[in-house]
Amino acid sequence: MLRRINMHEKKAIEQKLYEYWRINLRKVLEDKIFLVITKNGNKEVYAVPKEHNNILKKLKIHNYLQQLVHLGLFIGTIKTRPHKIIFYPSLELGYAIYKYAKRNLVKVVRKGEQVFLYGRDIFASSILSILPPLIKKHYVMVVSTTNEYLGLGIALMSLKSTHELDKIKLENQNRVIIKNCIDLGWYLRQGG
Amino acid sequence: MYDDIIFNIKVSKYAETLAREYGYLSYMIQRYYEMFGTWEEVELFLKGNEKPIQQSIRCNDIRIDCTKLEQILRSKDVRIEKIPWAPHGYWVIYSKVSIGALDEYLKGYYYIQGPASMIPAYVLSPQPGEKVADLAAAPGGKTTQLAQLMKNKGVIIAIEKNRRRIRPLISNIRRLGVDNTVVLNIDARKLVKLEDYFDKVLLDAPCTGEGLIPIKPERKTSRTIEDLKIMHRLQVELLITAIKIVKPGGKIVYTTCSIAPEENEYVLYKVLSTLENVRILRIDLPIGVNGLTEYKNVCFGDEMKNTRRLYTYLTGTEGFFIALLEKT
Repeated sequence: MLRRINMHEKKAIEQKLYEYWRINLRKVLEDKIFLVITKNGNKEVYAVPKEHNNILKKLKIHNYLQQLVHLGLFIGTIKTRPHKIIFYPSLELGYAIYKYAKRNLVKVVRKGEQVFLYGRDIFASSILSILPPLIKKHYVMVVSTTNEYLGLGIALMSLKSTHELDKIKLENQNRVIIKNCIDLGWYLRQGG
Repeated sequence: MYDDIIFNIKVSKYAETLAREYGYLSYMIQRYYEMFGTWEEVELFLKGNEKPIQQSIRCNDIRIDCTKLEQILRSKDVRIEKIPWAPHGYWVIYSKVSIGALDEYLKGYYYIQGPASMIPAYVLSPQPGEKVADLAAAPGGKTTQLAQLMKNKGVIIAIEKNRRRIRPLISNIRRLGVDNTVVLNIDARKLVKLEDYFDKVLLDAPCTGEGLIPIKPERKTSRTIEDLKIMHRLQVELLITAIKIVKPGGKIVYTTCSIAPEENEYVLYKVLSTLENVRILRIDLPIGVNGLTEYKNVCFGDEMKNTRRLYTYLTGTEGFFIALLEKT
């Protein structure tokens, strides 16, 4: 079933993107409409260009929307709990917006990049620098040394600066700093 | 119409000999003789099918500038060469690791795509802002190429009937950064309610894959004449749907990865004999040969010269058929 996102759901997504990366969703995806498909109890959110409105209406009139399985840009999944909406950002949303991130971003060395793309977590020694602050339990953008997007992780600790990271490296360079959530290797491992 | 003639194959002794030698079903060899007209040409064709096809990739300029991709791949010891007739295509001359295992593949910088299968999207030439339908979309090579040519603007309705093939289709759409696509899990023949709606339609029809023998040698024996008949009927129905849903003045590309006249010229001939509002446009391609105007003494008409056939022994690509149609 396809429907427009409701105000609470949209607000929850906007809040999370601002909280994680100080990104204003309305600005970066300003010409899009947000739609929700419910699949197996999951609510998947998609951003669709406004120009798709007409064709979606046409598909609706002719009862084709029941066969809809994907559209536009997959933003992520939402789960509704009592008094709470939880948002899980997608791999593709990260790719679309990572250049706008103002915090919670780590740059990893080549070896760290390879390990991350195999679905593994990121050690302190693999991080070249951070766009501070890194906040514990927040989603984090992971990029390569050449600023190419690699995926999303979750910070296992807070860090205020790269200098603070260097201190951790001296103490224990094998300490896991970022837990892998989803990386581009997913396309090979799960994409089919 | 002429099914009794087209699908009735009497196999000669020499066809049986060649079939044994090259490992084909004998009815296929006899058909090649009907197509090429001489046994010498048939043998050239069969020998061509024994040679491997050079791997190729399509640069995805939604994600990266192609010059930059060239630099990155060269820095990783991957030797590539531009395919002269495919603006985003590259031959992969050498790669130490599998081209599908590089990080750049995961980043969506390129799609591994046969050189011939890049051609239909260029022939259709969709423009940004247009409404385009792709009637047999999985695994998404041509869908994502259409999106690239449309600069991710406009809309593509990507249709895939087979539920198991939806996952790779969506995965490729996402990996390559395509966001102008709506994917429907439906039989394309049910789309007729969208009559006169699309600017352009791509029909890469389900087929026996007889052009893919160099890549999948099992196809030498896996398809019978009955399979050909079934495919032919489906292809006719799909092409009629494609013509219905495109608007007057709109274009349709009909293509298959088969070199079988039963799946190509004969499909067009049958459909064009029943519908008057469609004509075949000339395709200007520097490779391939004209389509067949006649097969087994059934005359398909001079218009078929406008279509294009690709044979491995002539082009070094997978075998393919491409036709460009216009609804009048």
